Amino acid sequence: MRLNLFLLIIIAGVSVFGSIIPQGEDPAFYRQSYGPLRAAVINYLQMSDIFHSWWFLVLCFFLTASILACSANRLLPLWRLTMSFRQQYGEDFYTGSSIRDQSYSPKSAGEAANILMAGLRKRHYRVFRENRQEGFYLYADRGRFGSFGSMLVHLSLVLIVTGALYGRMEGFKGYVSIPEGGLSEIQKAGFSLQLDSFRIDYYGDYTPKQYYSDLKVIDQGREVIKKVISVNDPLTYKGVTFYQTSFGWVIDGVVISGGKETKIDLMEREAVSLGGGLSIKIMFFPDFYINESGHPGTKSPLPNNPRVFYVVYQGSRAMTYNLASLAEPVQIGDAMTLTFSGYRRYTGLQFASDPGIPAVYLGSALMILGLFLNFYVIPRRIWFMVNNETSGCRILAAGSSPRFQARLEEEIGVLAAEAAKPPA
Amino acid sequence: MISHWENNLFIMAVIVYLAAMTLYFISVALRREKAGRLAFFVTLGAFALHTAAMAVRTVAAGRLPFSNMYEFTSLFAWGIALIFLYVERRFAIRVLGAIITPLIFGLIGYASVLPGDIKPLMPALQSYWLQIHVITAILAYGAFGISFGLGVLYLVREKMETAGKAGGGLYSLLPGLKVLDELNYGSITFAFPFMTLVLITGAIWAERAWGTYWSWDPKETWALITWIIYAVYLHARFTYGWKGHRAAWLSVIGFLAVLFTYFGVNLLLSGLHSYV
Ligand code: HEM
Repeated sequence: MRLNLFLLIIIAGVSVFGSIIPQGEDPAFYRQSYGPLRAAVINYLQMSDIFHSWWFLVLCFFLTASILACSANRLLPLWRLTMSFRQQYGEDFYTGSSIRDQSYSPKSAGEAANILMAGLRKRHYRVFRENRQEGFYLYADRGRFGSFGSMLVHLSLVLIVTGALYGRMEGFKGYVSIPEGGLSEIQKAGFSLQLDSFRIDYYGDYTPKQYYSDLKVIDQGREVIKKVISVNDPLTYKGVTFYQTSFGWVIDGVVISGGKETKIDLMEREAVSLGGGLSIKIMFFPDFYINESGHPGTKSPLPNNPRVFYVVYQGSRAMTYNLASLAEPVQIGDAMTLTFSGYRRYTGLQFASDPGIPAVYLGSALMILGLFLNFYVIPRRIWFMVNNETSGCRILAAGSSPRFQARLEEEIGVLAAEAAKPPA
Repeated sequence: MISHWENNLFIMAVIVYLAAMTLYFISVALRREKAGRLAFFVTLGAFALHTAAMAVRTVAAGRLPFSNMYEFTSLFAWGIALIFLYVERRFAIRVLGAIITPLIFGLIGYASVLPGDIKPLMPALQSYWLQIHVITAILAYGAFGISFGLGVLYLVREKMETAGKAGGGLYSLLPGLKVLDELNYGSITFAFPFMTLVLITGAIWAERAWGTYWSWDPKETWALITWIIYAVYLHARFTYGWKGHRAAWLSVIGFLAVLFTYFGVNLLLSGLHSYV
């Protein structure tokens, strides 16, 4: 039984390690920061990726198993306790209960029972009454579903952990960049995505306010969805969600070599082959100027004065580099000219498919519901035995509640006092 | 730019919190109940100024003040003050102020040295989920702060009893151990569902913004550790009857984890939450 506390503490302790040791770096990093010996330990115990290590999985498994076992154990008794109302008990039950009350009323048992019932109903109790020879039994309860709160919390936790593991096994992640007007096939997803346009809204000082990609999903040649996505507002199709992540410039280039004209797309900082063992990388300055220290820069992100900085490589060696205006042909070697004919934006989209998410979110909602039931719906049960005496009647009361017993005791006292009050 | 109005209100709030703290100290040092009563109203005044400063900021920024360390630290102090004022009003535990006002003062003092410029909201922070995330965090952390104060009072009173210093003086200002323990439990049961919501709304926000609802970055991990500590508190209490001494310690440790999640992670560990 102490196992669950132990597990919780272990998981917290492991998490501390996981937050202190940088996760997911490559082995060289650990050798450098921790020395060879400790790096070997880190490697051996998979501490460079604790939360995906086999032993963390084992811990999660024990946690869910322990919760399931515990819940299974408690479900039946709890169900019985909650549903077995109207239990009739003898006097011993009343005198032995930890919350109890005894009083005498000048009223008849029937009258007193009616007053008790009215009082209970006013306090939102569900009341059952049983008539007997000597008088009446009353049984009342409220908030009985509160007892299921903690069970719901625990089962929702199992749902969340299972959903998370399932999502990790079955899901995938990726990244795609698409130039304006371009179409990209998302292989893992089995459909294509087209970017019609990309737009950035700026604040007054050119810090970005929001990025918008106007996207179309093309599935088997047909356009199925059109949506403008932005940060915090992704697009989902067939379980794959696309998130606005980054952006940049693409320059349209025209290469003329040996009388042949070829069009190429040049993404910033990405090497593109020109043929003949040559390749090129570019950087775009949309609003070109030379800053105070004599370096090229851009005054604003708007294309007011566009320039392209390019480097041509032969193999891995930089052969030539320069700054070019648009539409100005650039001579490369003896037999090739390149013209930067225009510019467009591209959008960078992170995509992910996580079939575990519905379970995780459902689990989260149920957990909140369970916590609410557990802490705010307090089960209370009250029994009254009202017996006729030679004059008036005797009222025996008992109560039970897992929390706030004093409050229940007080409530029972008030109820009984109402029924015992002599007529004015 | 931080507006003059906001700045003046904020500085006044800091000064008045300082005055409240001093009054609480006087009340404890001289065992004056009256000074404690006055301190309550001074705290209320400081809280009103603090609220006004944040309202001015909200209007100036055109959004709720949620987006950087300065704003959130100020809100953290505000949440603790809010819950403290409620608990103080409802249960009249004056000495609690002598622990809580230094905490508030420390937080708001720290906020005042952070850069307070109103920055436009970057795209990732434009989310309703984030707003719920922050609001629930203020309530949860505020109540955990109060639980910390009650835990400390419990340990102080207990220490006095075992040291044979019970009776008179400071001791007479302290409520009974049972009252402290139950109120502490009450604050934690209030805070726990909100803390759960903090984790959930944070996860949903991360999923909407970046595509991963949980990435084990240090801030997330420490929020989870905090949550587990309080879950341990609840279990130990419910199933093993850990009340009193050990429960008081757990509530102190829990709040240290809150503070670490808040400040330690930013200062000592690195991660996604680098802007808050
Ligand atoms: C190994 C895992 C766990 C086991 C075996 C376990 C077991 C238990 C048991 C037996 C109870 C008493 C419930 C009752 O009789 O009503 C309980 C209460 C509770 N548990 Fe867990 N638990 C586990 C993990 C968790 C976790 C991770 C949470 C986090 C949300 C949690 C939240 C709660 C809550 C909120 C209560 C109610 C406490 C109270 O009413 O004061 N449990 N748990």
